[in-house]
Amino acid sequence: MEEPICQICQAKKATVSFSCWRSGRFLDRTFVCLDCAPTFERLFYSSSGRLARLVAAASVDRAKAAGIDPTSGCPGCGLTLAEVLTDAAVGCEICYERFYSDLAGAIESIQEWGAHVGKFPASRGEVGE
Amino acid sequence: MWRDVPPAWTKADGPEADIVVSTRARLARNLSGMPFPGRAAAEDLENIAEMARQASGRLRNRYPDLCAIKVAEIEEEDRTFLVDAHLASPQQVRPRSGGMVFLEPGGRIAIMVNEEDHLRIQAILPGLQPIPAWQLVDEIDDVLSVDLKFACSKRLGYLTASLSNVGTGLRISAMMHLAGLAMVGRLARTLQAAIDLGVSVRGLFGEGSKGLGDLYQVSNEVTLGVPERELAERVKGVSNHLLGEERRAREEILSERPMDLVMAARQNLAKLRSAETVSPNEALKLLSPIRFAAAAGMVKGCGSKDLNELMVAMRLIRVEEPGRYTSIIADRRRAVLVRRRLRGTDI
Ligand SMILES: [Zn+2]
Ligand SMILES: [Zn+2]
Repeated sequence: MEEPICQICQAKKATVSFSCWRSGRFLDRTFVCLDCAPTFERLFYSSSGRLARLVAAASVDRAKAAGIDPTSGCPGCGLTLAEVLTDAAVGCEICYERFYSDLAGAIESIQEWGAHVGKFPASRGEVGE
Repeated sequence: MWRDVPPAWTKADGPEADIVVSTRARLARNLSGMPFPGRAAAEDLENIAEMARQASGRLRNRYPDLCAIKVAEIEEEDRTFLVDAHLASPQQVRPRSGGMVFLEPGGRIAIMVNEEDHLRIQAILPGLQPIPAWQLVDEIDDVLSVDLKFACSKRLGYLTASLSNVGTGLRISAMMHLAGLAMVGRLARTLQAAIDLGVSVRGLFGEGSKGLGDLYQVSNEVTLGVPERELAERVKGVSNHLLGEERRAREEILSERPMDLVMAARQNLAKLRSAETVSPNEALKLLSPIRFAAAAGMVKGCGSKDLNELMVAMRLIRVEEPGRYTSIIADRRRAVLVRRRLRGTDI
């Protein structure tokens, strides 16, 4: 069986799976990549996260083996998603990647639109996703 | 010295200068690979300032007088100048690591380093000039991006500290003097119509929607999903609409009850002439009808440039003697300077 695509970033291969336990049975299983695993796990356990009420049976061993601390915030600046959403401000460019799935809603509500149209840096190298 | 020259926008020689005081364009940019200033260590901030300083070398071909000012090293008075010249907010000039301003003395451009974003590229022009103001910051952005790699993503465009600036990073605002609409009582309705057209409007000084001295700032509401030129066109379009409404209100007053304006302007002129002290806020309120009357050609001996300086750049009128001063002394001094400036004025 082919490895599924990460359900958060929709880009990378999912190598970690989370299962939600509720009402006495396992609900849907979420497949995420190593990069998205920390965010997802924090959302599971944090009291402010929208998934907090779910009981997670997560397998993050591989994430930990890859050197990612699943309880940390943004690896670039240390901000947590709760802090980002409270201030509608991020701490670094990596926040945008790391929290993208959760920021998209906030950005759309502020900007009334979700994607950039217009100028990009002309002379310098590649632009990330 | 950079602080001895008021910026170009005070000159009141731009298009629609009777009503539109100035237009500002601002681009927010961050360097890729560095935490944004709010999360950066002092050492990072110093490095960012140094990278900005080196990149600014290329700008000197076009702006040979461009000077670099470290905000931690300047006097309180100089900070006040930057704020009053509308080149920076009080927040932006507070002393901090790596805090810097690149400034063209007496000119149109100012680049802030390490406030909310790594770079804030600004241009301020007299009158209503959204497109030229945008073009100016766009050119500077091109020059700086030769040496600096800006944080950017395909989906979201330029990445900024605040979600409200992401995308183009462009904010364009026009500062308008809407004394006529205020006098005929149609201001709130007209501003609401402007807001419905997709701009934000706020009073220039003080909080809330009521602008002191009838000065209002009209700017684009969103920065994402609309190309730069269209944002500039939008601000231009709404400003033109407000401009038309303001002109209509002024014509009504001038044809139906010109004496109301003359009396208000005369009374305020008398108050300013006899005041022992005057705060910037009082000065703004009192000067508003005088500026309106001056635009209508009713005032002798005092032009739009003088009134722009008195109103918007109020505290640009600096105390001549060096050293610090309390606000009471400043208010007293301001009263003297206003009196002096209005000495030959007659309505
Ligand atoms: Zn992922
Ligand atoms: Zn971050």
